[in-house]
Amino acid sequence: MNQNCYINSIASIHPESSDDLLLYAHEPDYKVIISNAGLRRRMSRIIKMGVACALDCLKEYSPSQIQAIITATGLGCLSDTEKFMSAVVENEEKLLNPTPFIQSTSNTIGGQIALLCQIHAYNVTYTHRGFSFETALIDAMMKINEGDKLVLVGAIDELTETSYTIQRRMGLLRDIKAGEGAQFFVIGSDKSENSFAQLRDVDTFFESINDEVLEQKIDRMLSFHGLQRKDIDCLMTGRNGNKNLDKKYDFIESDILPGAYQCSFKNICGEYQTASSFALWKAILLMKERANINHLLIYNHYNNINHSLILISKCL
Amino acid sequence: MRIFVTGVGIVSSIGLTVDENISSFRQMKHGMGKVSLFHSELDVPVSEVKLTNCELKSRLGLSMRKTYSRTALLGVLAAKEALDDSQLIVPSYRVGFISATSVGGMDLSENFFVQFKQDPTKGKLRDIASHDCGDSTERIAASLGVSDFVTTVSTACSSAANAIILGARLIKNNRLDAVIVGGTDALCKFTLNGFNSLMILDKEHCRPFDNSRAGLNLGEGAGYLVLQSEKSLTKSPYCELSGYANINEAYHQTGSSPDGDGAYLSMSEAIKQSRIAKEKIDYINLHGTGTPTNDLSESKAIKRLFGDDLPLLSSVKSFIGHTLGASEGIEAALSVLSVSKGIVYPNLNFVHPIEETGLVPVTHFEDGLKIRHVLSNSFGFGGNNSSLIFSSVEEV
Repeated sequence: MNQNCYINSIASIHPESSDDLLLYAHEPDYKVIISNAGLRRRMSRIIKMGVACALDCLKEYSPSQIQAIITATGLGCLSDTEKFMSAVVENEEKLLNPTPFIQSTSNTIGGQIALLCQIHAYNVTYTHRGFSFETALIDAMMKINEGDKLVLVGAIDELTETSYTIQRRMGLLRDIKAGEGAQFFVIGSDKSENSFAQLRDVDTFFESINDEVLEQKIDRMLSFHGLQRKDIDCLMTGRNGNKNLDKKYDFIESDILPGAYQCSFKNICGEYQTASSFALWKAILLMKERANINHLLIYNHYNNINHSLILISKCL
Repeated sequence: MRIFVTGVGIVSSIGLTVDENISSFRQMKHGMGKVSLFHSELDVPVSEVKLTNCELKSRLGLSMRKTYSRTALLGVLAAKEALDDSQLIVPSYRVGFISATSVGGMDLSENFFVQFKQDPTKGKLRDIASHDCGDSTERIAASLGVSDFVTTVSTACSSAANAIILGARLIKNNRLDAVIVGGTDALCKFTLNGFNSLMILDKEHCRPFDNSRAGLNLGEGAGYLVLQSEKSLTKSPYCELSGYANINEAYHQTGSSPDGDGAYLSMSEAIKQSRIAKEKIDYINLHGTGTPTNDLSESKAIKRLFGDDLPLLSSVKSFIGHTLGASEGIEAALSVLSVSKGIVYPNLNFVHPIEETGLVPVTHFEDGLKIRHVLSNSFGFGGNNSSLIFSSVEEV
């Protein structure tokens, strides 16, 4: 893709205390952001979180400037799904309130953002485990490449008691903290004085991969952008505390990019299917803070099935 | 850059293959019946695929001991048919798989949930492991041997259209050479009760675009296309995907605007992108759910766009029901065959035109017609409206 993509606005609602076992997001005062009280009351927690984060990200823009709304969620609106499922069982399929059903659809948040801001543009929702946010970013980059000027892209996942219980029973949380959050970004074709970073590339690969494949993927991505391994100043990995899963990060840290400053992010946001959206948010801030980071690579995998690379650079 | 369609696969209540589906349309055989897949208090017609999960597994040669959601099983059947049909040699190219679904593995989750609700240490974990939308996609991708790019779209009833659009754009942006795109959804208690709570299910057999229409009937199934770039072609393609649009009506979370502004915008944007004259569209595959509001707003939008010079049009939902995330996968495959074989599908149960708009759909099966371009609509919750245009290779 030839057109440069700039990250011009960012917003996040994420966990702030990493001492708990369950990392719930630190939520803002929604009244200030979603002023319509009736609307706000009907929204479930994940919808408020997603909509508020998107509105915050869009606050410097007029809705008519936004040419696409691209959202991602691994598990969608879980508590609405559970609420409706419970009602079906309890009420024996009679006299059900449709609101939780309506809100259980994965595209609810994207639809609500469009409705609230009156944005009639392209609108899509990806919901594929550890590829949900990555697909959204790839779509956003293609949109810019196809001529769009500004697109909104974001990810939302919520932690519920039920999802925590089930994930624990499945053994998916061994030494791992469960998390949640919402992150939104405005990606633009033009650099502005507010531009945080340049989104260079996103790649995904499916199923278990060996170190050699990972190495090839990284080298191919770097060379495509005229970069060498030594140019990567910072490597951010999706380490989550589980020894088995974290092994995947050893090779890239010790053999592929040993010279890069190395850090991780799930200690703050916890593990969830769209956690890489928090990684991007954190990476952007890190790059802004530190003058010596010009190129940063994020390598994350979800359960060793969904692997992804996100490359960002300082705006030139 | 041109996007060619080289393979199609369909599973629905009226057939387990493309040929079976076409033959049912020809014989005016619909697939509506009572709910048989699970116990339900609701007495409404539904359009079920006439095989149990065990029968599906056996047909696909899958292990009986492994758990697959019905959504995955239906998807594997249709996606394999599409890939075989395309004659694409997967390892030689960059091949992706993009699937759409609205419920994912909900058919199994609801079993799990009944026990889990009483005691959180109960419920078979293998029944909840496929809850998320990505599960069915990964199972299907694995069965196809596709791993270069895999993802899932979920935008309610327009999901599969958006999967098709993403696939085409990945080829145009030189990220893939070929891609299997479409959608799959199994009928389940959750959606059946959801649509019932919205009071948009017809207790009788649905009547799309008829003045007496009173709601939709739900269905299940899967439909996929294979899209390819010119350089990866190994057979002569059925047609081209010449235009597409995805817009948001931003009118209401579930309802469509009375004048069909969203439908008008998505159809006109798709036509604009395809750069064909709208007069050359010979057939419209309607979204046509049978709900009073959808059919009224869709027909108003069509009249506004085409005036009195209307193409042939029909909805297939009185045959196969509304299959939600799968619907545009199936209907796109039918639209592809409409272009390549000159088929128009009958709009079963149509008698009297809608009073306000007077549109008269096709009521008999025909083939061998000259169909240059087909417009196919799908509109969903969240204001998500999408339209696709399939064109004869000679006409582009």
